[in-house]
Amino acid sequence: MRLPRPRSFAASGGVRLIITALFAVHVFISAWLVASVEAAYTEGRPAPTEFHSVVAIDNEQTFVDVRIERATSFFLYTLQRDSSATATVNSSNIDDSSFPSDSNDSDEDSPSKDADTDWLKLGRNWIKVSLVLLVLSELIMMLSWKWRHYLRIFAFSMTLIAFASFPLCYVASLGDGDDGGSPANGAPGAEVETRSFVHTEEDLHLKPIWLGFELQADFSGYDLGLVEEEDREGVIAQPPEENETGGNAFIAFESTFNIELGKNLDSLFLLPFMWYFLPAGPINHDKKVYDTLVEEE
Amino acid sequence: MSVERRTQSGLLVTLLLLTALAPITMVQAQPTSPSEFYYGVEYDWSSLDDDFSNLSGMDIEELLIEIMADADAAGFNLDVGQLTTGSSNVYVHQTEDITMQTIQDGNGDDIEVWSRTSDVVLRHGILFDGVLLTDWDEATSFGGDNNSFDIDVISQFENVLTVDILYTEYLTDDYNLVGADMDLDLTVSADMSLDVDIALEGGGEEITVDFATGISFGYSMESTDAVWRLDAESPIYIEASDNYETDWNCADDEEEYGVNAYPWGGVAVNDLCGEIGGTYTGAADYEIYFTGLPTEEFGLDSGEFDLTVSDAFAHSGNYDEMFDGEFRFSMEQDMEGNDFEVDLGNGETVDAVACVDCPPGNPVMFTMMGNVLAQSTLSFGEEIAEDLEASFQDSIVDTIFDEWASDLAESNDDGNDEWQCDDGEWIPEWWVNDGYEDCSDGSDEPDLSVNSYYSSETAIVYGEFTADELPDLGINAFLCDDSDEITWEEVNDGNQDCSGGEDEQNQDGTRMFTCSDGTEISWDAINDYSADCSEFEDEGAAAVYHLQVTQSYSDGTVFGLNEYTVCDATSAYTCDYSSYNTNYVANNEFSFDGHGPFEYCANAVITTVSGDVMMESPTTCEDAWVGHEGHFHDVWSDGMTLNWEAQYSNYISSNDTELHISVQDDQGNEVFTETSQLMHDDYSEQSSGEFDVSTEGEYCVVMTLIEEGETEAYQTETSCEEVSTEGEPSDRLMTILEAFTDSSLQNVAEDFMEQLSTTFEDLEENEIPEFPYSDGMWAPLWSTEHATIIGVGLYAMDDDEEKYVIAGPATTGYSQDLPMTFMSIRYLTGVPAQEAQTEMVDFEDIEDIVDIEDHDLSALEDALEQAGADTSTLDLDQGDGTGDGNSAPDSAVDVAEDSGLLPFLSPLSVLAMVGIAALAGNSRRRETNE
Repeated sequence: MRLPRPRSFAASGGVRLIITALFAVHVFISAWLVASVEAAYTEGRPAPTEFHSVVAIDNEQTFVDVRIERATSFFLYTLQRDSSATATVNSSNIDDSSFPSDSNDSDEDSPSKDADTDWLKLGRNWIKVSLVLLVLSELIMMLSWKWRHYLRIFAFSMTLIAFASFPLCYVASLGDGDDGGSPANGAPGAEVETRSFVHTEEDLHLKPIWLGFELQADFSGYDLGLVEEEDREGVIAQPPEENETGGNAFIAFESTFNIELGKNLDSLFLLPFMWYFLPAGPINHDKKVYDTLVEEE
Repeated sequence: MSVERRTQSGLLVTLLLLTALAPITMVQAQPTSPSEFYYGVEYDWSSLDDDFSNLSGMDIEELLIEIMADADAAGFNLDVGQLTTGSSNVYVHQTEDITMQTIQDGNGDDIEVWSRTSDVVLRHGILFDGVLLTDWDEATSFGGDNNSFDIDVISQFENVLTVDILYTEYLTDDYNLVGADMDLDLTVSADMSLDVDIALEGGGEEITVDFATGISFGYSMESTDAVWRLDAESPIYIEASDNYETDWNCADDEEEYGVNAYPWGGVAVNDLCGEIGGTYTGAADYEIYFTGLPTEEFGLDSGEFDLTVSDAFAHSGNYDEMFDGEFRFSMEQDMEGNDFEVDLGNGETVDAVACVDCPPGNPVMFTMMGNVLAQSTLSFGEEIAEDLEASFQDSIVDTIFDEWASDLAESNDDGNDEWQCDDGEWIPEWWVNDGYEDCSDGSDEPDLSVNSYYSSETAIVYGEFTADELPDLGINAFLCDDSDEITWEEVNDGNQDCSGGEDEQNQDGTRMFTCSDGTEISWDAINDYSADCSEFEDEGAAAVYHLQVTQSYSDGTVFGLNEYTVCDATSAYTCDYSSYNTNYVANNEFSFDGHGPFEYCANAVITTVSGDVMMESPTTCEDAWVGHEGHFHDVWSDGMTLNWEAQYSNYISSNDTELHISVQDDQGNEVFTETSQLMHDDYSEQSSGEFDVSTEGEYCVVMTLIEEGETEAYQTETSCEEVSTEGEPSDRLMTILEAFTDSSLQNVAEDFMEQLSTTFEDLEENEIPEFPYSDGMWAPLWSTEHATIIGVGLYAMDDDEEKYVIAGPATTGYSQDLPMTFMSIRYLTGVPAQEAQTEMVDFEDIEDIVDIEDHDLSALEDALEQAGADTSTLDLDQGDGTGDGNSAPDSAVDVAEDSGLLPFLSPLSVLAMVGIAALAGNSRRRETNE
């Protein structure tokens, strides 16, 4: 069974080109990526501080809105905690090794590897090239070139892939920033990984959403920065009870991290429908067959 | 006649004195009929400029125009404008209820009282908008780059204060105060914002910034049912009305309770103030925001960063504390020494005096208000702090105190530590054992103290020892055989001073002197400037002590050992130190093999001849250094360049020093080295350097000093710095700043400052307008009849002794027809005050309190335009009059929600559009085919 498809007409190529160009400009000037974070301390001294953040990235700039509500307890927490309090990862006393570490370990964390790569700029350039190629491919559709359909599909696919991979570029650029900014805890040459939280528990849930994904991350642990120096070994060795020394260093944090493409980008998905409803005319050597078929009809 | 005149004058003076010393007037007992009156004061902030001009002679508008002209003359445009609108209003309504009622005093005893109530309404609101527009453009030569700036600054301020007080006090029939009740509702809020648009151009680069920041806070406290009962009746109102000076205090105990008369006149009323308790509902909030921070100019990804921080607190509770307060009632009569006759506006005229230190209302009410606010705010603050620190190990106060203590401990390293004397006095720690008694009891100094230091040039250790007075020092007298006493100087001096001549050598030269230890010496050895007895008694010494000073290295090797005698003798040269001295000095040269630090120690001991220790100093050790000593003055990063600067001091060095500088990355790899020579004859040197690192990270500069000819370093210092491009000004910004530096902007600024200086000099020559008044008086009016404040007045008098009410109630003998009005204060009494209070009591918001239409921002814009400013880019909000500054910069939410080029676009609309296009195309094609 064939779907009813309108026939090509003389101006359809021009209409398609105009619509494609409009869509390309529409997408180009819109936000390409929107990341939002909703987070709150649910237990412990920084509670009940809430963080609300929105990051919008367009073709040139990154806009960041950060709103910290019920902020006083968080500022008091940062004032009181000893930021230099850490435990070594290799200690047998520590039952996990993931979050959040202040790593000096060199291999994959060395700032020299990724620091020179501006992933966000790379992603932006890729998208810009893809959009130009998309418009050019529609222009080429007006020519009688055998591979023009393939070029258009390629350009369209390239555009989708460029946008689809843009969140990864953003995440990669965040990693650059972290590496560059993390303070070294030891003397030069020290190669130990240290952490300020122990007995941590994490719960990560990743789920896809329309044009993006959502990460729910819950974290809890004991902040060594809130434990007196002489009590830290005990807290590292065993998680204290609520009323024991170091028990009030327990902190729980819940966050939802949303990364999705800009709301105007879904208009790109309309282009294939436009191709269907405004089909291109046949190329020259097929035109005779096409005309014959039309005459027979 | 003259006698008679003097008598008349004397009588007059005596009368005046008696008048001054006499009670003002007696307050009446309980009123026989209740009184009720209103008064209020209003100020319109729109008149601020005019009032300021009237008072100072300075026309603000004219001044701004001159400043703008100065800018024009200097070569740039400057336009400044401001608009202030607001209203401050306070109204008081006082009523009396003379019906007797029963309440309980602070002891729980029933007491019969009547009451009077003050209903106070305060409403204050103010709006301010200030605009500063400035731009400068340097004429470009052919092919050159433009240098220019265009800066627009809009500042806004909004403030609201509302206070409602309902105060009822209870008095006995003889006017003694028993207590009071109060309902208090206070709300204060403030919003400040600053909007800055900047466009910079220079060196071929451009930067535009649209930055805004603001802060707002709010606080409200509603305290209802505040009850205050004294433990004993207070005669404060009686005494305040009877005396020209009355001090009111809360007594600590019953012994202090009562009224005490001062010898110079006036009284002190010491009350048993009892307790105050009540309930409260408090709320506080704040918000701080920054928007449009140009992140790209500071090494971050290009864009804008918006940050908002906020919090809000609310709590209800109660309080119950001791009432605390004190106040001085100082009464004065008017400028001619008479009472004021004041029209209360209710048909009643009362006598009043000026209670010069009083607020514009009953001082007792204000004291209670202070207690209510203090106690409710304290309770509220404690509850909030408790919530915040619920899981904190230490209290917030402790936390902050610990931070402070930590800072103090660090500063103590700089010698700011303190030391407590035995008597509790505190002195700086470095004063201890310094040879000077700084404690009153002298406990900071041992009996024998040491102060030791060394010279870095001469290699000499200087020891200064301070001792308490030694006993028995002095010169003996000589006892002749006939029991006469002669001085020791007279012994063996060639003259027979004793009647028997036993003070001189005998003729055969065999007379001997027996020392205290039994040794016999020739009589000729007495007073021969040389001690021949072990205890120097042949030279007259009553006592002699030995001082031994030891200076050594930390390993105990002695490099200085000195022994001295302390005594008094007939010859000053016999003893090293006499009783006139308590400070002893011992200096010794030291030698230290090699460069680097070492420690030297010093101590001293004073013994008797027999070896008994009289005093012994603690052994005090100090650090010393030989050779070059280096320390980092600074290590910093500038973009990806690591910079350092070090200083070197040289001490007693005979050898050169090799300086080795190396830079290590965060892996410990040496990425840069440099070696140089520090010369032994340079007292101090400084070195600096820089190194461009290739990657971000922490780098450490290691400075090593090695003595010439040695291989081992005697000093190694390390200083680390994080190198990152983050936070660094962008190249674009630096280019523009450099272009500005090279431009004529500095000349423009200097010209402007010169012009401005001239303008202000001219301003100083402006004379303050001559007031038609020669005397004035601020008078919160205290009615001796009502024993409370019944209004406030600002009075003036001219050279002709004409008296005026500048602002205040109608007062007998005072004209309200002013020759000059310099303050736009409106004073109300009676019905107008009542109506105004009734209207104002419902107003809570700025829109109610302030006539927003008066805050005409378009007028401000027009004024700026008339001054030649381009206001096309300004976006002063004229809607609600509160102003919102320039258009807010894009935020992440704005960008995310932006609908793009095709706001109408939706999947359905596009499909429909495409479908229609297809149908139209096919239709046309069919027509063509047909």
